[in-house]
Amino acid sequence: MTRVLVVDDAQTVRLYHRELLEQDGFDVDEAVNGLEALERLADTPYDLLLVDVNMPRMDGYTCVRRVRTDGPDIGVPVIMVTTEGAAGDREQALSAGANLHMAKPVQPEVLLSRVRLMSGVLS
Amino acid sequence: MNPLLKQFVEETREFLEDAASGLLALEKDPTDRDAMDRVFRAMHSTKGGSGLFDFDPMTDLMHQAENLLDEVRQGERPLQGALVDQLLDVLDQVNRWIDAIERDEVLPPDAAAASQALVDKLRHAAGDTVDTAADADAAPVAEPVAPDTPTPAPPVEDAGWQPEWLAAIPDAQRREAVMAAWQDGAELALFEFQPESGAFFTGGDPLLLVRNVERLVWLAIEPATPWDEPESMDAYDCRLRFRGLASSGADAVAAEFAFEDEETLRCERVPADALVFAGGEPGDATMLEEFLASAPELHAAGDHTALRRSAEAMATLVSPDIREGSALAWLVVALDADRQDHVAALLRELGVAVTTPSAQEPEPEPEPEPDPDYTEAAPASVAAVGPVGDAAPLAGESRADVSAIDPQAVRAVMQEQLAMLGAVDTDDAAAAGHVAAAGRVLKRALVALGEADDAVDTALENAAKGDLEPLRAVVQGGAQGVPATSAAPAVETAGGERSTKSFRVDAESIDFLGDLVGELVVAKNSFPFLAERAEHEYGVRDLARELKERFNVISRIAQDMQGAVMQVQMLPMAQIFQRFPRLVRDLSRRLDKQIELVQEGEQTEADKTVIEVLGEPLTHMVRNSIDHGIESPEARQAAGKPAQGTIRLAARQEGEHVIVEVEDDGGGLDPAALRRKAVDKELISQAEAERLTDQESLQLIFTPGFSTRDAVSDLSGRGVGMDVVRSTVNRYGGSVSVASEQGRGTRLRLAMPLTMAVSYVMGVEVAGQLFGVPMESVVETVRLPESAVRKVKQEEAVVLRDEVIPLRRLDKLLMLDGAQSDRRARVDATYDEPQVTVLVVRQPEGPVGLVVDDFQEGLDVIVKPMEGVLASIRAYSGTALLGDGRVLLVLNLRELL
Repeated sequence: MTRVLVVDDAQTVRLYHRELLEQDGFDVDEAVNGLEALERLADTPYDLLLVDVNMPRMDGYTCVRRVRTDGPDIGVPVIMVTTEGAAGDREQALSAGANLHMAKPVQPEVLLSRVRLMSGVLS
Repeated sequence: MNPLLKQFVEETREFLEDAASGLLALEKDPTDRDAMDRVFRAMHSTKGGSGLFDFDPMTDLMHQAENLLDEVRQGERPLQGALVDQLLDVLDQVNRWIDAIERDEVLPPDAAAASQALVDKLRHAAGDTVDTAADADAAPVAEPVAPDTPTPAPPVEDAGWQPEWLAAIPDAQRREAVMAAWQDGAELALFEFQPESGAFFTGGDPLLLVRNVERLVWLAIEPATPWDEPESMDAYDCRLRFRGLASSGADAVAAEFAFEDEETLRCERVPADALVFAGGEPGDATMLEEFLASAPELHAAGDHTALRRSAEAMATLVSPDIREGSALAWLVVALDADRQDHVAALLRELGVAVTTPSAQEPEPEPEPEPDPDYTEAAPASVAAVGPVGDAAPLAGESRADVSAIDPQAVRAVMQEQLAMLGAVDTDDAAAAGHVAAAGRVLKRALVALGEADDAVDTALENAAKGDLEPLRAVVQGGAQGVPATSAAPAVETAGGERSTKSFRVDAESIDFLGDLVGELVVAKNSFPFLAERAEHEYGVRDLARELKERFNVISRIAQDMQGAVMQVQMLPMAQIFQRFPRLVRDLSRRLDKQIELVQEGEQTEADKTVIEVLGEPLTHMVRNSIDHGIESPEARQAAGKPAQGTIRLAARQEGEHVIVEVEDDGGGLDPAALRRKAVDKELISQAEAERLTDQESLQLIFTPGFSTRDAVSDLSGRGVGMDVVRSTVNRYGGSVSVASEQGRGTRLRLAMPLTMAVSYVMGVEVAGQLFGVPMESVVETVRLPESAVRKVKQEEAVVLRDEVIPLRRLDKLLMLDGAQSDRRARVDATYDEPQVTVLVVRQPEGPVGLVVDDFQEGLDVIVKPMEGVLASIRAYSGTALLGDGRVLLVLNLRELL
């Protein structure tokens, strides 16, 4: 089973992503902020992280950077999703260590195809 | 309702509340970074959510509000009251929409219009503060300013704006913009901004302004007119002209300049196609031969993957500064987006004879709105060619055709891995992570493309050392990696801090749980009855003892459970308090009063039922303070008080009660006026009024039908008064009292029991019937000889420890005249003379003795309020079911006495 961790403070968005990914056969876990994501990562290996930027307690950039620095799996693929990207969103996401940056609203098919590719289900 | 939508509704309500409270905090303290973040996040999340459901009017509105707020956050705009008003209006509107969505699952039909109206208002607000004294300097502007230029919603013309300075935009930036347009559907905009010459004196920073343009791709800063000779130059004269290209759309760019004079800005949409041209001078292109030889064939065969690979490899060999290099780079972009029109044109530019028989137009066709989903929507022909054939669809996946990912999209993802690696320094702690992550994705991508991945590892090792070239070759396909030796250091530390785990539970489930625990607590009360029967009726003493032991165990567990459930049901007072800042703010503005609200003890917790009950009365009390309590600023100053009044809202726990005080430093209550009013309203007689002390007069405000003002204002005078507050509070076992000093202010004090679930009552017998008295009001129980009762006129009293305690006969109060009970007779028989059994209870006026027939033990009961026709019987606060099945009436002493 391919496991994806959806990190977003908005429950609506988490549910949406969960539905989308579960329909496609992914195992989905959720975290409501960067801290919780790190906590989950410490327990469970994931094949891909889908991370929002704006979150309380720990934002997406910090979270991804922490993953890239401290692991436990420093190489886990990360897609960062931002709402209505501001200037430099993509650069900031990539430099934090995201493999890909996407702007909301993300087309479901585009998101799915990227998740499939990057989580390795196509391999 | 669709659970997702339901979730959205619930969550958005919370966000809106958050945003509102944050805004108010910000209005008070504009430097409150935390509040700003909270508001921003809440608005942002609301917008994000509405986007999911295509509630476009809501998304648009939140977007506009967010933009405005962003300007505040960037310090470009002060957060004044008017702006807060408007943002609150926005929140209110969205709240109404959420109500509608909850009801109908769609936005009301007028949503778009309502949204537009508010958006216009917000935009207007943005324009309002503009300094219009900007026409002083008429420095020549390079481009004639179109009359309709900076309107926020520019008419979309296909040609857009294509000034000759387009050519000045370097290749790389143009490509970045075009890719944004083709791949993400971004709208491109060109702008030319020439601040007025006095700009430096008006406190503006033109450069900062321009830099804030979202997704600014390119910016040129030039002198608008030639500089003067150094000796005559005025360094404070702003001569700058900014020209830029942004991929955030003309609206967004224009919004950044909302404060600026319209004349200073020209900003228009530019079609992406206008940016697609090879730059630079033609150069030495001998290296191109190989490409030129194979390109026509590949193009004619429609093998775009191979053509792209070939073009990209060639682009790395040819200088990007010459026209051919530029054309190659553009070719890759055009192929990625499958823009055959541009592909053909660019090939021609390179000198390839294009022989496409297909229906492609030789000339670029401007295509104003590229499909945002472009890469995925690529024609089937693209997906069919190239080595994608064996990219296996997901097992058991019904949408297998979807999962066969477009190779161009894969390439795009691979390209991002390079960008990601380029974005981190090799000595950065995260560098190893970047390399590992990029490597994993690249390998997966190569597998998906069906390409060998053996070159990746060595290329990655080089990337770890800062040399991205070999990896670039891998990404571009077909190139070989360069072997290397050292491996990237693996960083392994367990990360993560623990945070408290919480989850949401439906309030109803908790209520149900609370009810069950309550029932259990009462049900356990049947054990003592059972034990008694076992002992007295059946004569099994041992069983009786065991039953009592078991009872103690169950009793303790039930008590713990009850405590736990109560804890779950406790809510902080903040739940109610949070509505007051808004209330105070709105009402005081309407009444032209200056009022500061001070809140204390928001964290005081009480049962959620109590919190729910308190909401209405408190709102009423605060309204009263605003409306009647605090005087106008003029009146206050005349009275020697600060113009700004203060309302203090404080909560704290005192024993088993939660105390909430509403205190204002307003005019206070005038006892004489209260008496007059009460007489005028025929609530009391003149004679009664004269007997009232000032303190007693204050209590008149709780009399039904009493209003302290002649004019019924639309705020607090809605036909309900303090009498409703008192009856509501009393009904739930609470009390309300008032203290006031004329000219100094008024303090209202609410005391409510901490919890409503289970009460401890004392059983008393009167005329053969059992009644409950809330234990918290019981002071003591005494038995006295009848002779100790002193008669004072009609009244009876006893002296207890040097204190005169008035006596009330409960049977008379309840109008019961049943025969004296057996117990009573038995009690009397043990004494020499008749006894009175007195239950001393605490009342606001002092202790009162209740004469009863007998006492019983204390009981845990769930008191259910009197409902229906019984609700009008005010002598009882409720009923409770006893362990033996009897119904206990619990006395409402306040009413009774």
